[in-house]
Amino acid sequence: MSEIKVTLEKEKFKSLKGRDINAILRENLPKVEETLRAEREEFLREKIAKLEEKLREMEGEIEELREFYEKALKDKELMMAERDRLRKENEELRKRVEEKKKELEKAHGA
Amino acid sequence: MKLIIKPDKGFGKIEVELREDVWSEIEGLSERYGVPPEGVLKIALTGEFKESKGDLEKLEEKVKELKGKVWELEKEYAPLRYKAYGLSEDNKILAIELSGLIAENNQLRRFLRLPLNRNPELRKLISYYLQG
Repeated sequence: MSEIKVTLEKEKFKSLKGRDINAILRENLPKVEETLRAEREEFLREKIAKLEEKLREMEGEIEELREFYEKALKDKELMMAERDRLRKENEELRKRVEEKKKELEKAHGA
Repeated sequence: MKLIIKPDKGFGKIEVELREDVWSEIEGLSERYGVPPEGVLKIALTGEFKESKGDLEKLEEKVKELKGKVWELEKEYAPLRYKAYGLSEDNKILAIELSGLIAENNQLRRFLRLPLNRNPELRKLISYYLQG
């Protein structure tokens, strides 16, 4: 035979002794349903608060990431332009160095 | 179904055979609200009730809506993060390349006795991406 066990506070337990448990349950079950609804509502309210906080955090992170991305994009363009400029300039300077070296060699040779 | 009630301290127990209609209602509540039957019985027997504000459906709806928003943001966040990471890696490679070019530039300028190129902004950028 199946059975179910419930432990209650001593005082509560005493107050139930000798009473019609089935009648108490029958009377109280609608209030239990309302209590369960209230508990679920409480749980959902907490969940909503957590979700709202998570959303705020995520929005902040995305905003930060977007700013980082946009800045990195600008930096990339700037660095690429500098790279091209320096490549050209170094090429020019290398030529001038070569010329100068030749001049020096000539001067030494002469 | 037999119900056995025990006190948390001391001895004794109450044994009672639950009526079928009572038990089936307990089972129904247990299933509907995801609470074990023991929990339902405990509330019923202790008589510690709470009042519902009657906005359960509205709250369920709100949770669903917020979860949807979180999901949308997650969908936006992941690819953006991936793109930002890729870009940051590109910039790192550029920064390495640039520091080589600047070193070469300085060397050539020194040889030619030209003033060195001071570009503090660019140097800041380079060190930023080299650290990243």
